[in-house]
Amino acid sequence: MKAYKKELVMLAVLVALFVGTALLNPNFLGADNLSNNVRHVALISLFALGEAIVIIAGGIDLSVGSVICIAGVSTSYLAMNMGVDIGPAVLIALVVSLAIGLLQGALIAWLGVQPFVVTLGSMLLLRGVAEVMTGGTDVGFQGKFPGFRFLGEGVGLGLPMPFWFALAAVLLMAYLMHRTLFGRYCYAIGSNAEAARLSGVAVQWVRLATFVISAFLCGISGLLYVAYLPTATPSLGSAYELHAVAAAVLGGCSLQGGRGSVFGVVLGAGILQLTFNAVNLVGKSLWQNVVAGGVILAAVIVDRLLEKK
Amino acid sequence: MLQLDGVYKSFGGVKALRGVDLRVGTGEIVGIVGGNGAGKSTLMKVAAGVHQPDSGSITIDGRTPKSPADAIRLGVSLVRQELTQAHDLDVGANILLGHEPHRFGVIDRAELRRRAVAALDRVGGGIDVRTRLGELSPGQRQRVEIARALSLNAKVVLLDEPTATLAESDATRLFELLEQLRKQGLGFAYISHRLGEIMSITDRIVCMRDGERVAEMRTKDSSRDELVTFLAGSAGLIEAELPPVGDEVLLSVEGPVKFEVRAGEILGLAGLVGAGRTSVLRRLFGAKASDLTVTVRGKPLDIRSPRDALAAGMVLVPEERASQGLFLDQPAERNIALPSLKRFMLEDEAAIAAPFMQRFGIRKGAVASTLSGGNQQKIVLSKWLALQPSVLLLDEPTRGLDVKAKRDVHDVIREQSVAGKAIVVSSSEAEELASLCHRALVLARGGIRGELQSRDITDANILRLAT
Repeated sequence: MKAYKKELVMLAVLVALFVGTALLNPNFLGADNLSNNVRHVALISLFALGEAIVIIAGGIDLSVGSVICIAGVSTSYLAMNMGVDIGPAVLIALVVSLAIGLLQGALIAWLGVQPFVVTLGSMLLLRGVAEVMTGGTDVGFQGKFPGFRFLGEGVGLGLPMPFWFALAAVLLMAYLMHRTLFGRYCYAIGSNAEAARLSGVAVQWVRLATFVISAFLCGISGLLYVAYLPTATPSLGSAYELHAVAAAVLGGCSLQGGRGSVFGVVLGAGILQLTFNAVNLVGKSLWQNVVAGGVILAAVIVDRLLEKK
Repeated sequence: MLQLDGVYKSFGGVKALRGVDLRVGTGEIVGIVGGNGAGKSTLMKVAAGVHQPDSGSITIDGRTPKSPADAIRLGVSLVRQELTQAHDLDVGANILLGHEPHRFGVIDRAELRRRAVAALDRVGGGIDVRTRLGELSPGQRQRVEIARALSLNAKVVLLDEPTATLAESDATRLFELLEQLRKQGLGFAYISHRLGEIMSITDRIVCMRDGERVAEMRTKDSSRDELVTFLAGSAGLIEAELPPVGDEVLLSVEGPVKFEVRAGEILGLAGLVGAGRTSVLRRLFGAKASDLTVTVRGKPLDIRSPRDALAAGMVLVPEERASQGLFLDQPAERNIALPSLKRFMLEDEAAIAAPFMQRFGIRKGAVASTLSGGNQQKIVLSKWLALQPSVLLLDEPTRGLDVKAKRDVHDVIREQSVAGKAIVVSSSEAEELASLCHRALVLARGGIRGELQSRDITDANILRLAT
């Protein structure tokens, strides 16, 4: 149990937030609000998972929000402005996301550029591309492609569709990170990249893979976001990379690498979303970022204090 | 004068110090010896104000330091290990780091330079204050550290394993410097595993075991054997019969350095620090770009990365345990099992590690960073033994280890030799190579300068060939 101490603390925080918000505003427990929370926790979990894997392997991915945006915007742009069918449009968006991950990973793993710098560059560049592509305006689906939109706004087995995507991703990634050699290598590289290399780990390929996974999960969540909204704006996903880092850190990842768990990231995403929702429900939505920032700082402070004991 | 009385210090449940007394006066060198985990380094850190004791008192000329800054002000300086120096800053900046002369926060560069030069002069000079620290040799970096202590007006200087990374000539130079400073009235506490130097440079010796001071003696009244007995409870390195060497050449190296190692043979690599021993091993293992042609078991190899070397059955125990050999924040089992994992699905790490954990008495689930240097090195050895390699390359495999841990490591190496492996051991200690190796190559400036048979491996012979 000791290994999961952080996760247990975060679970307690999540439950406290849940109960506290419900007491402050009974509307919190309304079906619409709950379902909305589930949807957003799922969407945040999706892209935060990728970020967490990158962080566990000792990197950082600042391009999360922009990749979400590119995936979403290119889907609606292709479908609405270029007359491409929705199926191929989705496929192209995913391939583009994968290609971005590959390029970033290659620059980081083989050219040795720092992840912060590479992903900062693509964060700005991709956001710019989205702005140029759309001319700075929204591209809505205008009631077309109900099948695609169902993936974002629909409900399956009583739960919002993004939940099922996130569930699949969480199970798959938990398996990958905690039960396979790839996962073990990620932790080893984050813990000590040189020792990993000297132990015969193909460090460069594993690094590359973490960035590809992150970009791919961002692509999926970008698609789900536009399907849900259902419109793509060039500001889609702004600051989401920071939400991703926040969820990962709240969930027990260390920015030095080598620490964290998939389950923890979901808890982190839950805490983040509940914080946003709680602030909205008490009618102080302008305070969203103030409270979220406070929660993150409080979490790391408590964590340090517990660690020191 | 530095005085510690009845100092207790625990970390978590581990009692690092149990009622230790220590006095270091002016003009004397006090040697502190003891196994890994005996509490020597903790004692130094308590004396330097880095850790506060749980009970007991520390006084420097009658006053109690509450922080490292306090201790420095009162005249006690700890010569930090290499890792804590700022390699990207120049020598002058390092000497006065945290004590820069300034006016309203603006550094007075002329004054800083003047003080740095003055301090460097006292340690023998020959180092330019504008050189980036990272460009200096380990010996020079250490003199910079001592200059730093002097510039802080230290009266007592604490040295923790100062010669562990030094070449023989640098070490000799250090001893001369200490002797000279001692005559000027400085006091030293000197931790070392090398009993030879403890015997030759100290005035008094404090023996520690399990956090206690078990003996204290005047150096001129004691003998080396006596010390060894206190430390390990029995005699030092074993003068064992060397295992027989087989006929088959397992490892053959061509290129700027040329040698062969047969099955069961233990080949030593001797030479001063910087002679290229580490470089040769790292090139063989593919850890750095190589110009060597390597043949293992008669099969020529194209080694471009450690993965290639491992595939051919060749492993390397690297020079730096912590930064190159271990995943410090991970449990021992994961450290040991990692290179053995081959299938995509995780295999049972505990089962792979179990025989080694048992043999070396390492607690299940112990995180690597919490273990002693000896146990850490045994983990690094275990992770390679689990692969059953045919060629073992070992770079300073016993650096910083106490007598007992050293003997354990030597046992493992001999065992591997008996099992018919080819072994290459690099060490800066002639004594170690002499007791362990069939023969040794002496390296200098990246090339082989000569070869010594087992009984001829002595400091004098190595030096003669190397220079």
